[in-house]
Amino acid sequence: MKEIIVGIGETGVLSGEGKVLQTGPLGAGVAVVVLDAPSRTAGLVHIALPASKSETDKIESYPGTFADTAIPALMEALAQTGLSRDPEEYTVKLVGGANVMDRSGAFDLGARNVEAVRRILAEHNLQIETEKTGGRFSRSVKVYVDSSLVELIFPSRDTEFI
Amino acid sequence: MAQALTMIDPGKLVQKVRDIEPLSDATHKLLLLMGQPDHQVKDLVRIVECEPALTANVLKVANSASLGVKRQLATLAEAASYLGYMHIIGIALATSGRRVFNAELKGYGSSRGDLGRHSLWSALAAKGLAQLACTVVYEGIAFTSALLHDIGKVIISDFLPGYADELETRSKSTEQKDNLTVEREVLGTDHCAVGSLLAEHWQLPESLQIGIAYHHCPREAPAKWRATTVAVHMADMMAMMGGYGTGSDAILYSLDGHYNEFIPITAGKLDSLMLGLQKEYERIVPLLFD
Repeated sequence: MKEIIVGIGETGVLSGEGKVLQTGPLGAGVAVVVLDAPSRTAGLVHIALPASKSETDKIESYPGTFADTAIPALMEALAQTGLSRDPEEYTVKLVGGANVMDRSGAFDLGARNVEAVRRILAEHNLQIETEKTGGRFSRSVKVYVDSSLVELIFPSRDTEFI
Repeated sequence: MAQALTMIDPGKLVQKVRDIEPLSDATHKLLLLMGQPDHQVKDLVRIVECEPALTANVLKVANSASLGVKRQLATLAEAASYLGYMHIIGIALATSGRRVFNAELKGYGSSRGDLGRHSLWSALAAKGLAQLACTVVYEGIAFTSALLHDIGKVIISDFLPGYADELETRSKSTEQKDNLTVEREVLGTDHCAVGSLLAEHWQLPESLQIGIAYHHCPREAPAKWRATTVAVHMADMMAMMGGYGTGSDAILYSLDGHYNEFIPITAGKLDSLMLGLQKEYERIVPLLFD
């Protein structure tokens, strides 16, 4: 089984049998999974912040860090595998964006991340099929390319599949 | 639930605190120094040079390729000036306190190394937040307190079998409680109070004991150290938001909404700080905890 760890701000794309993409704990970050079941291809990006602003060096090295640069980077990575689908043909799953309790002001990062990702996905005509965001538990995700299943992993707790 | 949770036996708790490996003499002296509002690198050098293993580690880190030093730093004074207090205290704790920071916190479902990474991220954040404060925040104390703030978890983790299941059960109830409240309800204490016990056992200075004891309720800290403790509290939250938690409890804690009275921060500033911290963390963590 080939398994790729997709770190903060990184993008990963895999095709074929026995392939798995995985993030570390997301915290307030968001994982966007784009799946193409017919070709058994999956793309994953681990987004940390809502907007890139003028962070030029980080955009170049880790475009997946920001919602506004992550989605184009993920679509570009999928296109490089030879896929040429209309955006509506992809299955999109969204996970993460946990929030601290009694959040206020600047500490609303999980919610701000989710809102930004939803908006950027809509701008690219990518429709969210399943979303597990918010809440107060940090999760990691594992994407099983074969089955298009996404496993939500919580430390020492039961996992959940979407 | 896998196993019933019971209140901690105070005798067993005290014994567990006593069983924790003592800090080296040099690390203890460094922490005493860092607990003071003012300190100079030359004072750190005097302490480090008394411990050959620590001296060797400081020179090794200072000359590591990832820090991009342009010429070899041959003396401890040169290395210490180049690195600054932040690296030196980090190296000392990563060496002398390795068993604490590298502990697997089974009760929290946390892997080996998670505590060290969470502590380092928090410490860097506390240092960054100190620079944004509108009142006096002691940067070195904030950094060092944040490095140490969760040491109590190492002790109470062993008393928490089945705790992650307990958290899950409670998370499904309509009345959501933060992790600190749950710890108090099931154990009769919490990781802040136990961390403070360990800090007292290690004879750490008052400023660091307070940072550990009050990092989840900073406004209850004595006035002199309150703003510094607010920095530790905010830094802990930011580390968990960044994905650097210590297992099943992340990010199940309450934010003290009055942080703006001490450290005003906008969303844009917080995002920018988190980005900068991530870069700094990635540069330092392999030198200390991996």
